[in-house]
Amino acid sequence: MQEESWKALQTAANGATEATEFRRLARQLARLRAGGAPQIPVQEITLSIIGRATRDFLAQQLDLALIARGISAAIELPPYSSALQQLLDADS
Amino acid sequence: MLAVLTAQDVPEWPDALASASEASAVAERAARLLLGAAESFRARSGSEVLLDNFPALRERPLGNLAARTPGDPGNFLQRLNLALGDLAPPGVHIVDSAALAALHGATRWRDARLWYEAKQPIAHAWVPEYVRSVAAVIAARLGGARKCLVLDLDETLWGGVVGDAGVAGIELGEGTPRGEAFKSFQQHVRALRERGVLLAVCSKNELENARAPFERHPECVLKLSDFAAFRASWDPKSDSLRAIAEDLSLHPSALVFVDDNPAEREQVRRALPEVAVLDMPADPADYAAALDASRWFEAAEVTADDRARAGQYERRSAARALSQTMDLSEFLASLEMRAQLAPIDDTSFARVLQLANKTNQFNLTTRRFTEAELRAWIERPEGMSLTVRLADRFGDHGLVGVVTATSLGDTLRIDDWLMSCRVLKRGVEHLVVTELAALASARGHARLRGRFVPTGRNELVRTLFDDLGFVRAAASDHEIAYELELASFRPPSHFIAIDRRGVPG
Repeated sequence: MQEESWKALQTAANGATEATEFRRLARQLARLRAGGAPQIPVQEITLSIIGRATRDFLAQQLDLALIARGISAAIELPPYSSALQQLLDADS
Repeated sequence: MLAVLTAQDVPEWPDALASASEASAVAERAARLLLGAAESFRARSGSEVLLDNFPALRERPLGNLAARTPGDPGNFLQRLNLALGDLAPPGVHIVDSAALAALHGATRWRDARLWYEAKQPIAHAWVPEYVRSVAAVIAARLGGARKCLVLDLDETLWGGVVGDAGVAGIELGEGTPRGEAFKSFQQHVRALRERGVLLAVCSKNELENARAPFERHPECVLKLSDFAAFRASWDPKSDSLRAIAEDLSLHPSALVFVDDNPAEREQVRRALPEVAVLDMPADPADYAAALDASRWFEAAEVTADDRARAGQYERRSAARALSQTMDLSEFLASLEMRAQLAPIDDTSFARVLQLANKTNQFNLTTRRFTEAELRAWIERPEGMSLTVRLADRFGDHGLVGVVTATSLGDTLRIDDWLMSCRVLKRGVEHLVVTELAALASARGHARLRGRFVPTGRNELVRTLFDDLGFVRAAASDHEIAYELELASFRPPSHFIAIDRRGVPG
């Protein structure tokens, strides 16, 4: 059942062209993720999103766009700062 | 790492009265600073970096005069974006937000109130466009780009039904709006072919009718020779797509299917869910934009081998035709195959990286690499590598095989072995294992070791090591380990002449 939900979500994400629908699917993905790891074949990556812009709104939808392509990302949002500074920061 | 940049991240702006050369110099300095920071992060972390470029500004205080005022901020951002693209090093990828914003309109791309209230740089409506663009860049790097565009014919490449209307009756070319739109779509498809996307036809038609416009219509941009596979029959389209995948030695997940008919699209979606099926707009004027927006063919880079690929498949088809007239040994001998063997070097590195990151079927371990990881891997003192270029009497197939291995005491361990599907069943694997055995012996090793790591997409090589005489040493759900004692190795026969470039032995 879970597997069917993941497959259906992936198909829907590839077909969704309208922003409201895309956001709804992104929320659905967040709920599925709360239930465990993806039940479809995925390549796993870690992705940090940096910058001084607000990035939370991107993370959920980027997660969906990547799942549509068969990629499962652990998305990290380091603290708000200039991208240049974070790229140069030896601790980042 | 994805760096979401806004105009506030531009490290230097030119003086309002700057000349063109002064503004270009500032743009280059600013680009070098941003890219240098990205490169520094990449070198430190081993991670690749995606860097946004800069959409046009909503504000244009100079109006049209900005176009000839190099110090104008909007004018400058165009110079900066060009410099970012020109100077980006390997491992730093540009997310072309400027192009997306231009496509949809800068005033709509950025919602000023949302920026001031929430520091959100992209209006809600366009976030899906942006994240899809980012995902496409990442997927391209991970080998997720599709390889073959499969096209329906009637109402997809021309207007009307060729079986009913005849070649003279279809809508294609100058004279009618729809005819021009179909011709323009064909030009777009041809441009994809020229950068390495394979083309195929999947049509419910009589073969003769299906071929006729390509042979006889004066405004048909695409020619029969542009297609690596051509299926015209009354079979279900999912069956034809399976046959096309088999013809081209591709997994169905490498195909993108374009058909104006929603019923055909739905049939394929249900029967072959691995195939990407595009929802085509009703108007052919919008076909090219819909294909672009899908981003299924986004590439991390385009190599010389990519540009030559379509021609290589044509030669492969010619060779297949020949194979139907003689037995396998006669056929392989008649191909007059010549292989060039060499370690990975600067001239082959980009192609090796590309093959490593996109080969799914003939790939024993399916390890993916960043540019830095691959460079570090091949530079290990205990490591060795082998590339195979193959040519035959029909032409040059380019670099088709890669092996990396590690010397471990009396064993040479094969870490990666992958080959292009273009040359399957030509005996190249026999050549490679013979070469590896010779290299191992020359280095004083007593055995070869290898492993098969199943991924669901590399079933093609599940029994490769068994077939080559290796013995199973261990097996689990995750991998099967093999060994081959060199003392008992009997080289399998092949029909390939060898030219060694820098490979000892």
